Amino acid sequence: MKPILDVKGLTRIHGKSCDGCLAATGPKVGGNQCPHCGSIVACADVSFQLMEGEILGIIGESGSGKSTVIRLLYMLDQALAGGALLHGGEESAIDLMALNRAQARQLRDRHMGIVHQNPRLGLNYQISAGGNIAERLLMSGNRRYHDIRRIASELLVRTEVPVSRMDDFPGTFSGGMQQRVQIAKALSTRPRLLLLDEVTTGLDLSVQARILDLILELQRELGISMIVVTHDLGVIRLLASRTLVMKTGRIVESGLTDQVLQDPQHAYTQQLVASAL
Amino acid sequence: MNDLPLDLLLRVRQLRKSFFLHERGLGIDSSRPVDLEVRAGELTALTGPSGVGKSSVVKAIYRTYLPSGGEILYRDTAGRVESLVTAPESRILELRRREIRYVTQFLHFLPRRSTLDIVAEPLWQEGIPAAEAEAEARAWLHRFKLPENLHGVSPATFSGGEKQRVNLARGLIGSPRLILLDEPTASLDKHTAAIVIEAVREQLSRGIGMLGIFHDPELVAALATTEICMNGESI
Ligand SMILES: Nc1ncnc2c1ncn2[C@@H]1O[C@H](COP(=O)(O)OP(=O)(O)O)[C@@H](O)[C@H]1O
Ligand SMILES: [Mg+2]
Ligand SMILES: [Zn+2]
Repeated sequence: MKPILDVKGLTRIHGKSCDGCLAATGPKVGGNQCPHCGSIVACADVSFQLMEGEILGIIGESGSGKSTVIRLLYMLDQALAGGALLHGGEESAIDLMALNRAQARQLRDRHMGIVHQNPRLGLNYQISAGGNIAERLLMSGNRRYHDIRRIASELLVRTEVPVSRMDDFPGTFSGGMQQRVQIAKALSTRPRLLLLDEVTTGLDLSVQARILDLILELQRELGISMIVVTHDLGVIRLLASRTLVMKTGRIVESGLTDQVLQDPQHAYTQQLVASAL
Repeated sequence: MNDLPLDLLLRVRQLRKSFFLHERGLGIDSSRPVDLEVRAGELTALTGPSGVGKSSVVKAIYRTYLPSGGEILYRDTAGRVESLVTAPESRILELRRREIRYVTQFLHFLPRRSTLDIVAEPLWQEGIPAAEAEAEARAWLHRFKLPENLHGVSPATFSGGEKQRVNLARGLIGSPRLILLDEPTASLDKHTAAIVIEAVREQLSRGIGMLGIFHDPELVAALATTEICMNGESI
């Protein structure tokens, strides 16, 4: 198995930051706010590899820095330190943290997809569901109207959104259906890397189940590499082959998912697992 | 260091497992140091009273538990010997897909999948085409006398006995190199026990090596070449 993504030392701090930020925060201290300068260490020294075709889970309580990692990888925010090498394709590996805005946009449009917990962050509510997918296809360089319409309807079928609703606005859809439109949009450019941030949080159980099934099918059929962020152990157990555990902006433990769940090493992971069972 | 006699698939030396419970500041030794070997085409039985740590040993070999000490050497299909204690996680995942199978007492299955898919899944992982995998899965379900009308539905609503037979079919199907069995045969009826014995023997004769924990001494007698009693020494 080859790595598709090599993440090293990813760090993001909100605020001015000082020399003492990293030492004065983290799991040992129990907080992510620097007592010297008041900055928030959203994530620090995050390192991991994602293998081709793998689903990697990131679990941790709210505020532990999971979404920060996802936003950094999707280049929505700037890292203070660290790198993330994206491998694969014809080109040599690209450091996502070293791209300018235009390069970042191009790479995102061609090779990456993201699904946010809140569909409002991922969808444009001023245009139709089909239009949302078309917009992304246009950005990735596809300009043929008929192709675009066909691909959009195929994706909606694939994600179980009634094609008859293709021209309706996302705001008129149920939460689960909006989420599936977001997934269809993310998939439209056949990304090498898909980032999923709490995509089932807050949905009804039966709706959650269908979205989780869809994610597994996509992995099996298309072999897309994914990072799945959640605070739900059940989602991790179902989807992820390996899991990272985050607390106060740091990775405190990582391992095969069954190992992390059955033989957790870190005090925090033990607590997390014990409280879920 | 990594030398393993050619006839061995797996050699475990002085393997220990202990847990540290942070909340209680407490260490627990789950198993005393154990030595065992598995040969291609043979079944090594792991026996001993309950609580002695048999399952912990099996889980440590499979990396569901992190070993606390000792050595686990494995010879893969290509003939390379590697340590299952230090192999990277990605390598362990690869071995789980292609070579090393772990079968527990209960059927763990993805929800909302047909029984046929659940039994065929290990074959997909081995890279066998879907149609062939389905035919093979069907044959194994027939072998374990699971009525045809149950093949297409999820085992979620099956009886304990039906689930157990699905579990055994999924556990024994295909061509892994090493199968770890943790009491998948608890309280089998006589008829199913006979089917299991025949199926295990057939898979052993194809060169698959097995390490098995069995409740029933009769199964040990019928299947094992070697017995490692975790209270005593090898027989
Ligand atoms: N724009 C921001 N300004 C200040 N602090 C922020 C900002 N965004 C996130 N944080 C803080 O960074 C930490 C990590 O947040 P986040 O990555 O959203 O966590 P998670 O996704 O694990 O819930 C939290 O303490 C959060 O309040
Ligand atoms: Mg979040
Ligand atoms: Zn500071």
